[in-house]
Parts: sequence; C-alpha cells; structure tokens
Amino acid sequence: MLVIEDGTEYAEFARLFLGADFQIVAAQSAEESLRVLAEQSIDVLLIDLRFDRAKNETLVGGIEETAQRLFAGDRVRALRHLQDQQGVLILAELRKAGHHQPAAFVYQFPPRRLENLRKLYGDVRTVPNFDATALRWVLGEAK
Amino acid sequence: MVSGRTNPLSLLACLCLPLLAGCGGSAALQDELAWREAEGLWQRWEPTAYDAWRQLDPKYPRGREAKARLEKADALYRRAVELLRTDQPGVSETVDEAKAVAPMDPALYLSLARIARDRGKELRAGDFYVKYLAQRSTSPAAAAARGELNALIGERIFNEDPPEIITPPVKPDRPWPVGYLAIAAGLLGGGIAFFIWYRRRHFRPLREIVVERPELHQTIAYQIGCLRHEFLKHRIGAAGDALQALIRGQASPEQRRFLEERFCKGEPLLAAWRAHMGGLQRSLGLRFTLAQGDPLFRAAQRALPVLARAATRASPAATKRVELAWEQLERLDRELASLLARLAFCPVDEALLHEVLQSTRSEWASGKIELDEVVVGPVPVGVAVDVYGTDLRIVLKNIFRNAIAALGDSPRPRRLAVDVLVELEPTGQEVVRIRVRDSSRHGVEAMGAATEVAGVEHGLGIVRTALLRYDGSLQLGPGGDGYAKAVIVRLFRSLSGSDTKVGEAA
Repeated sequence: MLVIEDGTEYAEFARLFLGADFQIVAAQSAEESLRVLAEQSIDVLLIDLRFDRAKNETLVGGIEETAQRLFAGDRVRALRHLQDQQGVLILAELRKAGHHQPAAFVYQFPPRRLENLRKLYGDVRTVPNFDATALRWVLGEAK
Repeated sequence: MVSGRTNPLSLLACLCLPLLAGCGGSAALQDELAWREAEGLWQRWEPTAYDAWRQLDPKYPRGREAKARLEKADALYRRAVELLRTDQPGVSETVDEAKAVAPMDPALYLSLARIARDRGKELRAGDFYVKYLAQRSTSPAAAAARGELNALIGERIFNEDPPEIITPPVKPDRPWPVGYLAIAAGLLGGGIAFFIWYRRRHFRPLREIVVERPELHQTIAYQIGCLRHEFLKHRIGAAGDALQALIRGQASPEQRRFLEERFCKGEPLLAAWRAHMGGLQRSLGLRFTLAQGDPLFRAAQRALPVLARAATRASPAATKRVELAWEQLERLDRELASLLARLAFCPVDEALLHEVLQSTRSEWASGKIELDEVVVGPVPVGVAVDVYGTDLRIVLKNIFRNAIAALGDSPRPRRLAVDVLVELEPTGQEVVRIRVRDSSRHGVEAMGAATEVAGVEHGLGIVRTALLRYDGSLQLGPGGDGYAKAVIVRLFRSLSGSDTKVGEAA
C-alpha cells in the first residue's frame, strides 16, 4: 500500500492497524509517489486530501493556472485551494502517468462529487473516518 | 417593582427548586417553592395571587413575610379606597405604593364597584363587580353583588342560573342596555380580531418567517448555528448515550452523574435555552415569539424540564416522557439542520435570472434605458450554489445594473445576454459560471486592467466582496458573438442534490 500524505499520521495508522494485511510504503508528494510507483509494485493507494503542511513547490495543480481559472488571479486563494484538494490532484497526476490502482480517501465526499471522481479517475473508494475495519474491507477488496 | 414580564430569577427558581425539592428538600424548601409560585402569580397579575399569598404558611419565613406584606398592602389599598370614596387626592400614589408591596384583596373590588356605580360609571362598576364575583362568588356579599350588577345592567345574566334559561326582562323605559350590549359585542369582536391579528403577527413558525424574510437569512443562520452547536450539541446531544441508558434503566452511576452535570449544573438548561431563543428572536426584529408560535420550539421548550427532572430523579414511570422529550429535541435539531442547509442554498435557474433582471429594470435609472434585445439562457436544469439567495441577487443585480448603465450611452442596438455553464474541475468539484454580456461601447479594454485584476471598479467592489465569502470570483472578458464584454461570476456548485450533466451549458 502506498500512503500519500503531507505528514506521517496516515502511515502510522496504517502500520498499526493494517500492517498485518499490507506492506506500507509512504510518500509525501506527487513526485515522490511517482518515484515509488516506478520502483515498487503497489496494489492500493491511501491518500490524504488536505496537504496544508506541504511545501508550496511540491504541490501539483498549478497555482497560476488555478488562480486565473477559478479565482480571478488571486494566488492566495488558489494556493489554499490546491492545499485543500491536493490529494485528488496527486491522484490525477498518478492516473495521467498510467497508475490505475484503487485509491482510497478517508473523507466523506458528497455522492455527486464521488461520482465525478470515479468518472475522472476510475477506482476511487472512501471511508468517512479512520475506521480500520472499514478501511481493511475497502482496501482488502482491492488487494 | 411589579412588571408585566416574568422575572428571570423567579424563572430560575421555578426551574431549580422543584428539582431540589425532589431531591429530598425540607418543609422550608416547600415553603420557598410555594412562595415562588405565589410571587409568580402576582407578577403575572393573576387574580388568584392574593389567595395564593394568603395560603402561605406563616410558620415559615416566607409565609410570615407574605402575611406581613399583605397586611401592610391591605391597609394601603383600603386607604386608597377611602380616599376615592371621599374624593380626596393621592389615590393613585397610594395604590402604586400598595401595588409595590403585595396583591390586593379581591373583596375590595366590591367597594370599588359601588363607588363607581354611585358616580354613574356603569362600565367601570360592571368590571369591578365581575372581578369581585370571579374571586368571591361564595362570600356572603356575593348575592348582593349579583343583585347590584343585575340592577346595573338591567339583566339577570350574573345570577347562578344557566344562561340559556334566562329570559331577561326588557324594560322599555330603559333602552340603554341594548347599547351596552352592542358595545360589548363590538368590544368582543374587536378583541377576537385583535387576538387573531396578534397571533398571526407574532406567533409564526420559523419556516414561514424564513420564506417571507430572505433578508434575515444570514442572521437567522448564525443564531440557529449557535443554538445547535452550543446548546443542542454540547448540552443535549453530548448526553445522548447516557440518557438512552437511563431510558433503558441501565444507566451507571457515572452516567447518572454525567447527566446531572449536563442538565442541572452551571447555567440551568431552561435559562440557556431562553438566552439562545432571545438571540434568535431579536434577530427576527423582536416581533416574533417562536417559543410559543412555532410548534417545534414550543415542544422543545417543554421537553427541557423533563430532561432536567430525569437527570435528578428518574422513576421508571417517567421514562416514556423522557424518551419523548429527547425525541422532541432531536427532531428540533434535525429540522434546524435541514432549514440551515436550505438557507445558504440558491438555485441558479432562468426564474432567478428573470426575477433579478426584472427587479433591476424596475429601478428608475435602469428602467429609463431602452434595450433592443435581452436574452436569458440557456441555463442548465438543477444547478444550485451554496450561497444565500440575497447575496446572489445582490451580485447579479449589480452586474445587470452596470451592464445596462453602460448600454445607456452606447449606440443601438443595445443587447444584453445572460447564460449559465457548469464546468467540471479536476478535483471532482463543479463550478457554475454565470456570464453577463453586453454590447456597450465600453469593452473590456475600456474598463481597464485594474478592473480585470481586482474587479473593484465600476461598482463591482460590492460584488467581489460578496463573492469572496463563498470562494467565488468575478472576471471580465471579451463578449464574443457581437457582444463587447462579458462579466463572469464563478461559484462552486452545491453538490447537495442535482442531476445536471457537467458541460451542459450555453
């Protein structure tokens, strides 16, 4: 399992509660994730959504382009948007690079948004909170 | 000083004392409780207040105090009656002095009635007689009072016989009672009409108020948010598990202690509730009384004392009531959540665009400018944004107003168009794009780069500020299709329920 997050909490949780079922590998950016995926065989992805502790230069999505497209050129709001949605944007990068493993988010997306994500990125799964049993079930199915 | 409103301290006492009494209070405590009830009656000007005071036991401090005050007040009331009878000054002052001490003995209404009757003030006298008979109907003087009242109005309607078998003699030489009856009927009708009007004006469910007063949505949302978070979640919701255990009869001592702390320690439940309700009602303009006018709030308010009592002395027989009380509060929370979700939610449809356009055109300046073509649409079906309707209307109205003003000094044909498009973002979110185009000679270039970047010139500052609250944006761009410029509003689409296909658009 590749755990992608801006901190270490997801990986710690996964090692503690899912370690018996998965071998855990961690990455903290899209670039690092792509490197891991190129080097190792990964079955599933567990992705954090918000990356507010990540360095700005590691964020994917394009601040300038997002600022122009969504926020009338406001870079501050664009940066916040990229941080808030970084997990999904990293998934977009991984899919573009041809990595189509099932991806799980610990987040309760509105049904319509989840439907959109599945249209865009294929196998996307969610659990509403850090429930190891639910995660094991959701990811175990994928393994 | 007596006031028409209920004293909050008295209310607190009324809430807490029964609990304390239930926890094994002494006779002195019962005395205190009875005293509070009697005092409450007096403060509400209930006619039974005097008798309630008289019934307080003088063995206890409160009873002794009540007795002393009644005696003091009685002397003052009687002095005032005497002053009135002898036409001396100082009646009002003496009555005021007495009213500040204790309630009046209803027996004195008979004296007042007779004085008024002797002075030819029949209506006043009738009122006093009725008050007297209402409280002292079995006293030795009651029969005489009835006779005097009957003589006063010329009808035997205040005797003890059922009204339907009364055949009041009509005295041809005294036609005035008919006039009185007409006045009474008029007053009754007026009273009923006033009552209905008052109820309609002040006793309204919140949902109705919300529909009629969109300008209050934001402040209502804030107050409901506070009520739900600080009261329904932290005071009530947090006790859910323990209360359920109590209802099942399986509450542990820790759970019972927790419930007691939640419901009985610190600010009393009812006081906290009233504080929140006060805030909410003030936000509605002090006009509405939700606690009485809205069945949901009324039921919730009644449920609170049940929970408070359950926390201190849960008997098996009361569990059903506790369960019902809990359900009432949960229902209130659910309903408020649903209301809240709908407050900051605005469908973006053709009806909205037409409404705002029409409203803008009804303004004096905008209405004077003749437009050759106004196109509304296409607008995808089922699109909505999580924005207060008033804010979105302000935004659109400003944009329409600016566009029409720009067209005013532009050559004809003057064309205005508005359409809507939904765009899918890589994040799975959807963005609603509302585009307003005009054919004015003030194209994008004329409006200047500063506007394009900040959107704060040409009257668009207010629009930009409103949009910032919702993570929206405003941009200027070329109009295309013969239009000089386009003003584009972008807002994230509400994903709480719609089925428009992404990309369906202009």
